[in-house]
Amino acid sequence: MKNILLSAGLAIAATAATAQTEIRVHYAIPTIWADTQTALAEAFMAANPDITVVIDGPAEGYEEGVQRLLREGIAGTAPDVAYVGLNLWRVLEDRGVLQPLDPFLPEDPAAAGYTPALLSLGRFEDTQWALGTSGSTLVMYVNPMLIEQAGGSVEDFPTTFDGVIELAAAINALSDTTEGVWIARHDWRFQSLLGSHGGRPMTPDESDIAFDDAAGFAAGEIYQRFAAEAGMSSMSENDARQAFPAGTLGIMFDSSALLTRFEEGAGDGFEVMVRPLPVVAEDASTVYFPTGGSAIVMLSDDPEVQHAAWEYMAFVTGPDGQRIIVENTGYAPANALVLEDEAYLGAYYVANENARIAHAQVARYAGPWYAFPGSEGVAVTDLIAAAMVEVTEGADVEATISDLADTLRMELGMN
Amino acid sequence: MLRRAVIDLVLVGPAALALVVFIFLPVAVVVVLSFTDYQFGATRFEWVGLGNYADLFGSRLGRNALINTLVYAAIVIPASVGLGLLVALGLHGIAHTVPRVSAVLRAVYFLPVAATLVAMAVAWQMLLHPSLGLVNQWLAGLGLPSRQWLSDRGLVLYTLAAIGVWQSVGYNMVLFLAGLAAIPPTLYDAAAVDGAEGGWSRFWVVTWPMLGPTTLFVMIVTAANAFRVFETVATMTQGGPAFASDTIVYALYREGFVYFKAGYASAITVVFFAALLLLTAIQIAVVERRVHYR
Amino acid sequence: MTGKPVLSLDHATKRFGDTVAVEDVSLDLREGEFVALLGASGCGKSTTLRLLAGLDQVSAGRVLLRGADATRDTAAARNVALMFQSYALYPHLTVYQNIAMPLRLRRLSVLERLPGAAILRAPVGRKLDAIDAQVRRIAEMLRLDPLLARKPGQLSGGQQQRVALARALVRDPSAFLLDEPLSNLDTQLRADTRDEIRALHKTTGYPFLLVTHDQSDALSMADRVAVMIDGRIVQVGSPESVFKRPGSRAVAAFIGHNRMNMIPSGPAAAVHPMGARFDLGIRPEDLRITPDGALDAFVESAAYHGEESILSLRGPGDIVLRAVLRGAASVPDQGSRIHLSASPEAVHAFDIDGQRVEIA
Repeated sequence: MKNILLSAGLAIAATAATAQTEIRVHYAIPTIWADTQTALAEAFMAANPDITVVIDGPAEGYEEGVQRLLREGIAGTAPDVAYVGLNLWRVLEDRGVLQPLDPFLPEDPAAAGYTPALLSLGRFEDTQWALGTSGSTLVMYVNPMLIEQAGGSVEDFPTTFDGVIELAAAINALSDTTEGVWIARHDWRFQSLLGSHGGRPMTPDESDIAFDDAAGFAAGEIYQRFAAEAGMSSMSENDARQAFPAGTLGIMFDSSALLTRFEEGAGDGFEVMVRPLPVVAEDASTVYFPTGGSAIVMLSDDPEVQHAAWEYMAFVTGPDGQRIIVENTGYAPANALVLEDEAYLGAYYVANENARIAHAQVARYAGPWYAFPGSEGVAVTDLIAAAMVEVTEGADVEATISDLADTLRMELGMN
Repeated sequence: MLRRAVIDLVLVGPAALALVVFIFLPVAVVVVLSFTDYQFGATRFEWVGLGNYADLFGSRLGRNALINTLVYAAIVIPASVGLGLLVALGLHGIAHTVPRVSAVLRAVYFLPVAATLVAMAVAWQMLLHPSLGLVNQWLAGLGLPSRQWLSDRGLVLYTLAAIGVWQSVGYNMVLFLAGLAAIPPTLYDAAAVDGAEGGWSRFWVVTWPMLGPTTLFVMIVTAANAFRVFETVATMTQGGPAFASDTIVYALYREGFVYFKAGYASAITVVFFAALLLLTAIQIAVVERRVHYR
Repeated sequence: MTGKPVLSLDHATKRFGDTVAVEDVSLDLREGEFVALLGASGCGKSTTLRLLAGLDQVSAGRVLLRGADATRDTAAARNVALMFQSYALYPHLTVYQNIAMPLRLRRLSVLERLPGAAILRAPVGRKLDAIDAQVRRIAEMLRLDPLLARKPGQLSGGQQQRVALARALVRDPSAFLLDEPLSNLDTQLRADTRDEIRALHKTTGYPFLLVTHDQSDALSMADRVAVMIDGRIVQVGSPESVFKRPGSRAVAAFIGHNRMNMIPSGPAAAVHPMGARFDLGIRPEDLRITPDGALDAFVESAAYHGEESILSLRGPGDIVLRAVLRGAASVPDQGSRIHLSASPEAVHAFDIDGQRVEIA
C-alpha cells in the first residue's frame, strides 16, 4: 500500500516537475538564523528552479515555534517543513504532526554523510522523524591567561576531570574576583557528563530511568567536586556567560554553539580556547554527548509537496547547505561529508582552530539529547536541574540521584 | 414596547457579543480545560476531575510556587506602600520650598514605572552580577562579603522582592501625591487649633485618615501586581535556582508554554483568576462601605 | 471698652514674598466683647485672623495674650478656638469624635489615644469619662445629641456648622474666632444663626472675633466693628459710629447697602455750604426730592424693588447719583428733571486726602 502510494506520488511529482511547487518553511530564533535562512533558500532555489521556498515569519524561540506548529497543525495551516530544536521534535512526533523520513532517505545514508551517530539525533523507535541541521555539544572554554597565572599551560591542558578540578582550584585561589570553573546545573549538562562516563539517561526502550548507576553517581560527583574542591559559585547561566568573556572565569563548560559569542565578547582581552570534554569511560564506544541544535522535520502530507520538501531537506542537510550553515552561524555541521572533504570547509577550519575542535567532537560523539517521554517529559528536566543545585550545595550525591531517578519514574509513569 | 426592545438589543448587541466572545468564552474554555489532562496540540484528552487542583495544592512544586508568591507579596505590599507614602510625604513637603528638586526627584522615582521592564531587568542583572556587578563591588569596598543575589536559593526571592519594591514605589508615590494634594489645607489648620502639635500628631489626626481611600487603592493595586509577578522572574531567574523563585504566574507559564501541560496550566489560571477576583471584590466592598466618608 | 485685652495684635505686619497682606495692624480683643472685623474679600482680614490664632506668624510686630508676648506660641498654646468658613470637620470621624478631638489631643498622650488604652490603664479611663461628659454637655447645648453617631457627610450645612461651633467651644478657649461663619448659609438660616451666635456669646462670655465681608452681619452682631481696607484697619468703633460717622471716604463708600453718593467740591455747594471746599458724601437713602431742592438732576432710569425704588440720576457736571425712595413715595418719570436736597446731619464731608471733616 505504502509503495503504491509512494509510486503514485512520484508519478504525480514527475508529471508536475515542469510546474512550480511551493513549500513553506518555518524557523525560529531570527537573531541567529534570519540571514542563514535567506542564504539557504536562495542557494536551493538557484539549484532547483521548479521549487519556490516561502519562509514563514520566524518564532522568537524554539518553544514558541513548537507551540505555533502545534496550533497550526490543529488548524490545518501548518508549514511543509520546519526547523525545530533537537530536543523538541519529539513533542511534535508525540502529537502526530510529523511525517516519517525513511521513504526518502537514500539507500546508503552513510555515503550521503548521514552517519549513524548523526541519524540517531532524529530517530525514535526505528523511524527517522528528523534530520539534524546543526549541532552543538558541551565543550570546555578556557581562558589561557588565568590558566598560566595559576601555573597551568594550554598546551598541556588536563584531559581528566581530576586535572580540571585541580587547575580550577588553583585559579579560584588567585584572587577574590577570579573563579576556577563553572557548569550550569541543568539537564543537558548532566546528560553530557553522564555520557562522558558511558551512562545513559534511560534504557534503550525508554521504559525505565537508567542514570541511577555508577556513571550517574560519578556525573553528580563532578558537580559536587566542582563546588566543594574548586569553589564553583552558584551564579546563574547569564552571569557566567558575562563572567567568562569578562576574564574572571578560568574554565567554562558550555555549548559549542556559543563559540562566536565568547570570542567576540572576549575581544582583545584574551584569546578564547576550546578544549574537548574529558572522556572518562574506558570503552570510548559507549561515550556520546547529547547534541543540541537544530533539526529539520517534514509536516506536509501532500505527496507532491513532500517530494519538493525532501529536496529542500536533502539540500540543507547535504554538504552545500551545511557549508552555508557553518559559515554563517559557526554551528557544527550535521553531515560527515562536509567534515571529511576539505573542499567544503577546509579553509574555514584553518582559520578557526576552536571550531575545528568543537565540530570534531560533535562528529565523533554526537548522540540524542534524550527527551523524556510523556506529558511530564519537559517538566522533569527542571527536576534534574534542581537536583544538581542540591548536589552542588552539598547534598549526598548517591541519595540525591537515586531519589531523582525514583521521582522521574513516578512522574513519567514508569514502574 | 417590542420596537423599543429590539432597538435596545441592537444597541447593546455588539458590545455584549464581544464580551461573550472575547471574555466569557475563553474563561469558560479555560475552566473546562482545567478539569482535563489536555496537552497542548494533543488530539484527545481525559477528564481528571479536580486532579489538576489537587496537584497544584498538593504537590511540592505547586505549593512551593504558591508559598513563594505569598512571601513575595508579603514583602512587596507593605514595603512598597510604606516607601511610596514616605517618599510622597517627603516630596509633598519640599514641593513648596524647592519645587525644582521635588519635580526632578518625582521623575526619578517614577522612572522604574515608565521604563521597559525587560531593559530594567538586564540592568539589574548587570548590577547584581556576582563578580562584575556594582553591588558586590560596593559591598567588597565596604569590607562586606559578596552575595549571589540571583542564584542563591535562600536569597533570590528577597532580591526579586526588592526589585519589585523598587518598581512599584514610584507608582505608589504618584498616587499618594495625588491623595495628599486632595487633602484640604484647612484640616491641618483645624488640627493645629485643636492641639495637634508637631508632624506626628498632624499625620495621625489628618494625613493618615484622609489618605485612607488612597492607601486602600494603592494596597489593592500593589497586591494585584505582586501576585502577578512574572517579568522579573522570567527575565532574571527563570524561577530558579531549583524553583527557589518560582511564582504562580511563572509556574503557569512554565507548565503551559514550556511543558505544554495545558490542563494543569488552566487550573493554575483559574485559581489565580479567582484570587484576583476576590481581591477586586474586597476592594469594592471595603472601598464602598468604609472609606468613602459619605 | 472696660474689659482687659485678651488677645491683641501690636503693630503686626504680614508679608508673603513681596506682597504685604497685613500692614501695621493693632487690634485688641477684650474680655467678653464681640468684635467684627469687616472688609472686602482679599483685604487681609482672614490673614489677620490666622495671625491671631497662631496659624501664621507675623513678619513684624507682636501678638499678645493677656498682655504677655505670645508671638512665637503655637496655635495650641494660645488656646484660641477657631471656626473655619468651610467648617473643616474631620470627614472620617463621627460628630462625637469631631467634638472630642480638641480634648483628646490636649489631655491624652499619643499612646493613650490608641484604641483600647482605657482597658489597660485606669487613669486613661477616667480622662475619657471626663471628655465624654464635656462632649455631651456641649452637644446638648447645640442640639447635636441625636446626631452624635453621624459623619459630617451625612449632615446639612447648618448641622455641620453647629458641629464646628461645638468643636470650637468644647474646651475652655481664651478667645473664639469665627471666619465667615454665615457665608455658606441661605437667607433664612442666616438670620437664625446670627441670633444663635449672639446668644452663644452671651452664655459663654468668651471674647468673640467675627471675620466677615458682610456689613449687616458685622453691624448687627458686634459690639465693635473694625473696618479693614487693603491690609490696614482704617476705623474701629461701635456699629453706629462706623455707619453714621465713617472716618474716611473709603469707609463711607464701603459701609451701607447702597453705595454713598460722592459729590465733588464745587457742585456740592448746592447741597451744603461746606461743599465749596470739601467733597460731600450723601447716602442714597438720605436724598430727598423736594420742589425747592438746590441740586438739579435728570432721571435716567428708575428701578422698582418693592419696598423701595432706586433712581439713577445725572446731576450737574455729569455726576452720577443714586437716590432711594422709600414706601409709597411717587416715582418720577424717566427723563424728567427733579430737585434734590439732604438734611445737614446726613451730609459727610471729606478733605482732599479722603479723611472725614466734621461739619459742625
